[in-house]
Amino acid sequence: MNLKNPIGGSPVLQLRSHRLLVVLLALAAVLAGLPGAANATGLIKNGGFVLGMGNAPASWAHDSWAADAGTEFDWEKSEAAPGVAIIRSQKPNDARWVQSVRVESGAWYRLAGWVRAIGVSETGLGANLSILRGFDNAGSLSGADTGWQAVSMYFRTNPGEELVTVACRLGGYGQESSGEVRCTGIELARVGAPPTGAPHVYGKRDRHHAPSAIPAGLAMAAFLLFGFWRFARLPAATPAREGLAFAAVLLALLAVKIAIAPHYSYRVDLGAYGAWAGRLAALGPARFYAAGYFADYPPGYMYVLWAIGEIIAGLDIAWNSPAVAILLKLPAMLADVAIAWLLYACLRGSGRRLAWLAGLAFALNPALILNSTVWGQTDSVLSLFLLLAFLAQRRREFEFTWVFLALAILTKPQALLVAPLFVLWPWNWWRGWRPLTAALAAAFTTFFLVDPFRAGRPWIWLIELYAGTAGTYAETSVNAMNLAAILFGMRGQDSVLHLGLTAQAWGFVVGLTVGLGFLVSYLRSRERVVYTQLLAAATLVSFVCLTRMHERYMYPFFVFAGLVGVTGWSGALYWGLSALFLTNELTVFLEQDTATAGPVWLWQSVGWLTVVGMLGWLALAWRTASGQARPPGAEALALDDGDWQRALAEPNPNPTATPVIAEMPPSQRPAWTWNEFLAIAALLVAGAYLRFWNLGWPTELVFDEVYFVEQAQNYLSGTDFMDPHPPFAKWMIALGITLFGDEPFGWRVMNAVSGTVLIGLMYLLGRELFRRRFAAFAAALFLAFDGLLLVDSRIAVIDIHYVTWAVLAFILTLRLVEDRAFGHLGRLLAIGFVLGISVGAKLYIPFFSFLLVLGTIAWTGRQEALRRHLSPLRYLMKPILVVGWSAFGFYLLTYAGDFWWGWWHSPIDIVRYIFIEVPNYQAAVADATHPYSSKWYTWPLLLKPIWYYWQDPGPEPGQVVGIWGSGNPAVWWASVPALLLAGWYAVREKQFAAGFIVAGWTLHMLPWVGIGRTLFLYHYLPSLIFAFLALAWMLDRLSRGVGPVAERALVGALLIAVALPAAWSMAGVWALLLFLLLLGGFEAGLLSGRADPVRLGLVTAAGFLVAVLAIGWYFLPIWMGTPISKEAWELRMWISNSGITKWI
Amino acid sequence: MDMKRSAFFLVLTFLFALPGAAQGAGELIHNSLFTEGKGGRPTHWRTASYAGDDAETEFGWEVDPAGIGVIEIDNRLPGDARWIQSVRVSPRTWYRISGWIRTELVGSRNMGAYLTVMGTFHNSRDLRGSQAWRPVSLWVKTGALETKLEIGARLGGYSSENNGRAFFTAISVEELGFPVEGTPFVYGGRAGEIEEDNPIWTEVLGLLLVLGLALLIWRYVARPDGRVPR
Repeated sequence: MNLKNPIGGSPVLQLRSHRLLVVLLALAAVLAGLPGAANATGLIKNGGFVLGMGNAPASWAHDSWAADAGTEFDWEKSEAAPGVAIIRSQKPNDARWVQSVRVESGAWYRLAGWVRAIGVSETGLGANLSILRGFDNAGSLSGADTGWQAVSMYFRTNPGEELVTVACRLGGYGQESSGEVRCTGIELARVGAPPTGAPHVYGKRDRHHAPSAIPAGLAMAAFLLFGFWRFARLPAATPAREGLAFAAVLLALLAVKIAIAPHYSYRVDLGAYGAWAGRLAALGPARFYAAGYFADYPPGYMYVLWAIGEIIAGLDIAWNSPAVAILLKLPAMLADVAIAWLLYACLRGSGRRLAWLAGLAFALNPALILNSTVWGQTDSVLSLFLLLAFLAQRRREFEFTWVFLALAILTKPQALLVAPLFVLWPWNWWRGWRPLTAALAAAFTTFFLVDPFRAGRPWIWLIELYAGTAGTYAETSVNAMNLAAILFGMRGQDSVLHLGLTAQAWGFVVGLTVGLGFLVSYLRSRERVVYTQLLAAATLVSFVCLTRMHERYMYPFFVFAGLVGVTGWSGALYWGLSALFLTNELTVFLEQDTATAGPVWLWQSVGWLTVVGMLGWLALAWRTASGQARPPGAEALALDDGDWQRALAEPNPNPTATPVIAEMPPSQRPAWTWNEFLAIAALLVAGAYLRFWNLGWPTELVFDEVYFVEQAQNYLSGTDFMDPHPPFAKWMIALGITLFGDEPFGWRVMNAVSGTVLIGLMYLLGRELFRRRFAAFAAALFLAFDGLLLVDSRIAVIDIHYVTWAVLAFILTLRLVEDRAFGHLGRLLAIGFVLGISVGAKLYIPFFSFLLVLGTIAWTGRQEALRRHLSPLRYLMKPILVVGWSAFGFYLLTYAGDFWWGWWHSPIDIVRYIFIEVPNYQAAVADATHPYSSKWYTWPLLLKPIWYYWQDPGPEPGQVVGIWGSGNPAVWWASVPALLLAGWYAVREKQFAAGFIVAGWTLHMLPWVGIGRTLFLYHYLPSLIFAFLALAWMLDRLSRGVGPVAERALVGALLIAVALPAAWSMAGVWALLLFLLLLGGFEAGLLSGRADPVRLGLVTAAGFLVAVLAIGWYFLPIWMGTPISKEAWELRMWISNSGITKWI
Repeated sequence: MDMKRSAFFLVLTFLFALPGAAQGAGELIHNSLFTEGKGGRPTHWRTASYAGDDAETEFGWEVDPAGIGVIEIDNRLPGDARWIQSVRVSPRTWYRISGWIRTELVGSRNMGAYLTVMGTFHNSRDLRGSQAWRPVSLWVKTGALETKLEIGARLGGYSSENNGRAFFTAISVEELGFPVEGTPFVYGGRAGEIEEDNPIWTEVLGLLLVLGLALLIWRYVARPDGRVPR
């Protein structure tokens, strides 16, 4: 039965005969806490139309404008899916299912749901979700059957508005529709703000800009003013009256330009500037760039427009008033004035006439006046920045040069055509560090200005913005009367092929060829005047030869050409090209309604003449370079070149490098001291405490304990099973169960024992390898407070066992080779025994420890044999065979239990197990996946740890409990450069310790490289031992002041840098400042040579160890599985990306 | 001195180098209402379970007469099973993941039926027991390098297997501004965090830029001896 609409004729919500029923249902739903009730997710009750009675969904009422339209309201409920609210109307109507919802005033909400229109008329508003106020709706649907469509809208409640009525609706106010509407899954949720670019947004968004936006804008203005102030000063000999006179001329001209400005303009461009200024004033920089909004300028000039927008908004100036046109053109006109003055000031040193002519030629140039004053374009602003860059370069203030270049590029991308040439003058300036500081200054400027506009977008957005701008007009010529237009046609597609190349490619070929001519002329003389000609040519050649050129792009040419001089041959070219430029601009300006370049004969003629002008400029450059011509500005430009050349020739008065301290020769093993014992004891006690404390928790099996504990139980009980790994580690777990019972503590105790012993062994290994207490202590400390080793020592898995035995084998091997005891049977058997145990604890990987041991014996034994003039083969036979066979024998002994229980009966069973059963098992699990599996190359950087255990919520609400198989990030990250450094010294200086470390790390990584099966971070454990050793070795070098200054500067910076995320996580922005302070202090102390390198290195290394402890302490709760608040947990998850990088 | 200056800038430059990917907009889930499918499976969705074999888990899909599709997970024994779809996302952007869930006889001790970002603990509230259709949602802010999310409609969880039946529909992933303060199930960022905000450290770096440039002025411009700096 359908519910007919019994009352109509009023647009106001009215009572219905069944309304009481609906209200009662809704009330019942609320009271019963049933699904229709509001909850944290949505504010709408029964948005899924699940509840109801008869044909009325609970909590919803219906209403319509026309009572006689034959409108029916229905509700369908299905067991399988959410219910559906239905409106059918044969005649046009505004009918709706409605629900009033309590809201907060002044807040943003999102109304969303699924709507389907069936036979809905195209006239009227159609099917929609809406808010019953004004015309707020989520877009309309109409047609025969739209299928289910997700729709949404955002609205902001008005001040004082606490109740809104949401509607599933057919038609709208004054826009009635007929047909059938179906709605389901309606949700109303409060949101912070609509996303940028979202459709159907009703309400004004708050302006928002990053805190640094205003400082960035002010800094840009300050730089501009500073640059002008710095380079605008006239030579001391210039009479003040003359300067005033020139200024008066420029100001008078400016007044005239201002008077002209409002009367003419290129409407599209000025309109765009006005719109952008208004948008910036309304939304702020952060929301300026948005998907679908046309804004093809980079952020630099947007600061200028932002200021203009604020002035217009602040003074409440009408947007169509002359004042707005003046304001929008004023920056370009002021830039014209500034350039004219700078030309005057720059050339004044070579004479009054030259300077006046250059300044006035620029200020009065009709082509340039047309560009800025009449058209309203901003090429002069870009040109001003280029000129300031040039002038800063003249004073060797390269950082300022590149700051101004960055500003130019951020103002208009065309600056990219000129900027690269700034690296060419003066020759050899790139010696030393200045290019780096200059590049960094440019990078900072870019960062600082772009960041407020970036609004959290990735930085690639900026590149996309420039690429989008370049691609906007992919035409042969955008009304530029040039060679590209002549050859390929005006405004054609530049991707069209001509003689096998696109027009764009041909443009580059021709442009680069001509440009090469200018470049060669400069390289011949390297004079500043030829360099200036080259800069001028960059714009000219680009304009003439490249595609996508606009009519205005020649503007910067006149700045640099003006410097060269506006009389003589250069003057003739200057004025000739000015006339052609004016013709081009004026034609396009007059044809702005059609956006064309006028008659073909005109632009072709101008184009050819411009080509001639370009070739004339090239000829002039060649003649200048060869000394056959001397442009008027040459003298002024070269005034201080001699100073610079002399400075380059001087020896460096302030060398920064301190003398390299040579590597100390290996010493004997250091003597044992009480302090050393105390240090080891402290490490062991602390390590043991961390490994044994609360070892019985979690009380359930964790991660692979599911397998290994059961397997240990099987070994104890004699239950036959397929063990994919050799048995020793399981026997160790079984030993714990035997000693302490089949309970969590018993499962894990032997892992804790093994993990604790490993700390001491690591100390001994470091001591043996480096013969340095500090290095040994550091290596042991890294191991003791590393999360992955800690976790593997606290749950009953097998890796810690084979690693412990392998480390013991390494120690014995090092002692053997250092004592040259290659023939000592007892020691060789001991090594074989330990290796056999290790290989018997886990499949495959300990075999590579075995290879390392044999390789070390072979390498060092060979040297010893050669030293003794013996045959290496014969000398090495005994140690290799004894270690190899004894290891194999002891490995086989680890299977004794299999024979004891009668599972195996002969050595054939071992062969069958190793070569048939294990490979079969490996093949069976080859395709297994796991959310925490990871690729081998992600391990050193700790990109994807393992959550061994997870409980959410924890014992208290808001808490979580997790066991996180992850290392200490500071140690792991720092170990990567340490390994690289070790590799360098292993190859370059053949240092034994470095070689052993790199060989060990690589050997234990190799097997994983080609394996396609699921791998985990814990497979990195054996290599991790060597990563710790590498880091300890690097720290030790630093603490002794060993190695070149550059190495120590880099190592110190890296050590401080890797601790930054932790400090940031713990202390926020202050950590960053502390980081910079530490870094600055370290680098200053080291590079200045004022600090004692040993003390400085020792303090830094010790500081790093303290940081390791602090970071270990920070992560301890999620290594140990102690309850922690969810916020604290999230704070520790520094990497939360998908794919190969993920901490959660 | 030059080296020091370079190192100073080098470190700061290193800190703000961030790659990223294209922005997404609108509904990111394909076949959100499960209306399309073939061979008994909704298109764009795949299944997975902890055990790997689906012997104890049955995945279902049905379109009701009203045209609304529903997917089902039936864990006969405790398991961790999910329907999954990967979506492309933009880094450092807020997304709201929402949907409707119904449950039948889901165990109450472990994780019930919920929406999740696979491989994380970013979950919506989970429904346990027998419950009629309820909307659920969570907010996720993607990481600086994150360009893909795997959305899971899931019954049971990591080390929290569960049994019972769960039904899902209208699963949606949209970029929705940012969550207001007090919003539950928010991950990857703070509720109330304005999406346009750059991280505070970028602002700090900006101020350091001013400092750095001031130092440059002092170093190269205000040199009293007038020597040509190298």
